[in-house]
Amino acid sequence: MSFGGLMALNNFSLALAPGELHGLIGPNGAGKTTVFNVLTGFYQPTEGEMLLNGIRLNGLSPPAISRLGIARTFQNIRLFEELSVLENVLVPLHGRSRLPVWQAVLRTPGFWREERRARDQAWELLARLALQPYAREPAGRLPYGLQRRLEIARALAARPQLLLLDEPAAGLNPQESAALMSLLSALQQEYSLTILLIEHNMKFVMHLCERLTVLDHGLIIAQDAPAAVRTDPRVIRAYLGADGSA
Amino acid sequence: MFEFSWRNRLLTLLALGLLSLLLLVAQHWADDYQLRLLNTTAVFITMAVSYNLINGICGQLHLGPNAFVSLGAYTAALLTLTPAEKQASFLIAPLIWPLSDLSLPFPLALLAGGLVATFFAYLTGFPVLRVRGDYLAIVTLGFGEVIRVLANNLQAVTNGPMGLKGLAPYTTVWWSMGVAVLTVATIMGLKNSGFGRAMQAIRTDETAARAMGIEPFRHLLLAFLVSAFFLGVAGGLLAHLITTISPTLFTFFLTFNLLIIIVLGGLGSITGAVLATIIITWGNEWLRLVEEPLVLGSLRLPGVPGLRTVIFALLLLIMIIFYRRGLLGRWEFSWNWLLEKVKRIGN
Repeated sequence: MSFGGLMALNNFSLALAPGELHGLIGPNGAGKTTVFNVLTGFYQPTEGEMLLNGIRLNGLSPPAISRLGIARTFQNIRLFEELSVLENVLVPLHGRSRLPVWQAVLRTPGFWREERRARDQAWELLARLALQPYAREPAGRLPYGLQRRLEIARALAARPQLLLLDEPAAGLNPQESAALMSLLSALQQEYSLTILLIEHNMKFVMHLCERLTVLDHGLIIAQDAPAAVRTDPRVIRAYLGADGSA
Repeated sequence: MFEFSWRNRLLTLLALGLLSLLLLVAQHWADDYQLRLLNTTAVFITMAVSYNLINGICGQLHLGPNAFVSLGAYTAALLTLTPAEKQASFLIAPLIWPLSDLSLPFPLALLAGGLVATFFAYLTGFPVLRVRGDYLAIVTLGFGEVIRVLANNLQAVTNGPMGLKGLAPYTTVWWSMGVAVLTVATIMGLKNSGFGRAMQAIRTDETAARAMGIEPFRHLLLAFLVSAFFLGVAGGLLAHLITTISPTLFTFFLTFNLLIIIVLGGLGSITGAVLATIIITWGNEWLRLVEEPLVLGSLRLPGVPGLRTVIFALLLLIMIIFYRRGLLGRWEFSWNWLLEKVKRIGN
């Protein structure tokens, strides 16, 4: 992936096994979020190929990729702030609906059936993520930690196979981030998700992830289990400087 | 929140019954001026609510509703005039065939007006909805001007600056109010569905909406078409209400009026747009006072023609500076809310 003369990602290669919890780490500007933007169709890769269960994703638009089963959260929370918490979770469900518009306008039984089903699913997700008490509140008015959780609920409403989390623990205190860790591994089981997450909180990543990919200046410098990555001299150099003495 | 309820449906029917009763009374007891005001209000409700679908619910600054009203008005007018009437008014260039020989009943002409407006919305939707923000505003503004210039110069279709005269006053309160109710019901139905939620999601954060599987273009085009259809029908009603149309009727000034209404009501609120239309159209009548000479004791103030427009412009300015959310903000009137209030007062 390159922007003009800038090579943002070079020779990036990653194969995720179903059900894997994979961490993507690296210093700021290494290209982590670019990986997400490429995977979700916001940037088109200049070279290479992306496959999801054998389906080629190159050239597809973000909504199309979302419907194929890749959902994401954003580094700077991007909720539909004016909509209620419940409505936020309902939006991705509409993305997968095939209800013709005339049925919605005429309020046919088909419309009510679909509406009820969507609402049931949304409530279920809110209940699972303990967001039920806030269902009617505008999403923008939730405290920060709950907004992060709502972003996860909204992404799950898109029924993803692959969930991309961009710094889910950013700004959370140690208790909150421990709670998020157990929540994520529980959700991963319940919804049989494959999760790829970007995170700067090393404790979080080392505990949660089965494998890590370390990026620096758009290049993969390590791809291994957390224990091996931790002692990799190239990773230490990238994080701590040239001689590793800092 | 919107969930199916027989009680709410019954209340809606009751309200419609009440409205019909009111119209029946008006039809028999109101004078021409009052009927005219009622009709104007209803037509403006139709226009404001359908304009609000784009600007308020989808959050796209569309500045060309006058184009669609104009398309609807001309189409409907050309279709209800008899061939003889048309021959008599097209003096400079004769009206092109088949419009010259075609004559349709009023309801079909209204429908045709809406469909022509929708067709043009479809054609322009592809270039227009590729851009956002200021660019969308400029492109739609340009489209409004293009249609006006065409209306002025396509002698053989529109009769140019002379316009079309002597239309039958087909627009009764039943037609105008009926269309207004249909518009509100349709757009309310759209808003309170997955489609409406998607449109509002696009308004709030288009990038996030795309990441959640929503196709912005599809939803914006849908809104654009629905909005254009009702604007076109409203144009047909307007033409047969004032019975004379000319290009000057459909300048940016019309768009400006609609913009004031929806900003005053609260962008995105359908019931807000209805409320604001009533306030503005009736206020416009009361404000005639300021344009007439005023005698206060020994003081004699001459009337200033056009002062009403200044007052409305000031109103818009004050709203935008001090009360940007409008009367109702994004809030929507609902039966649940009303019953809740009634219960609270009862206790």
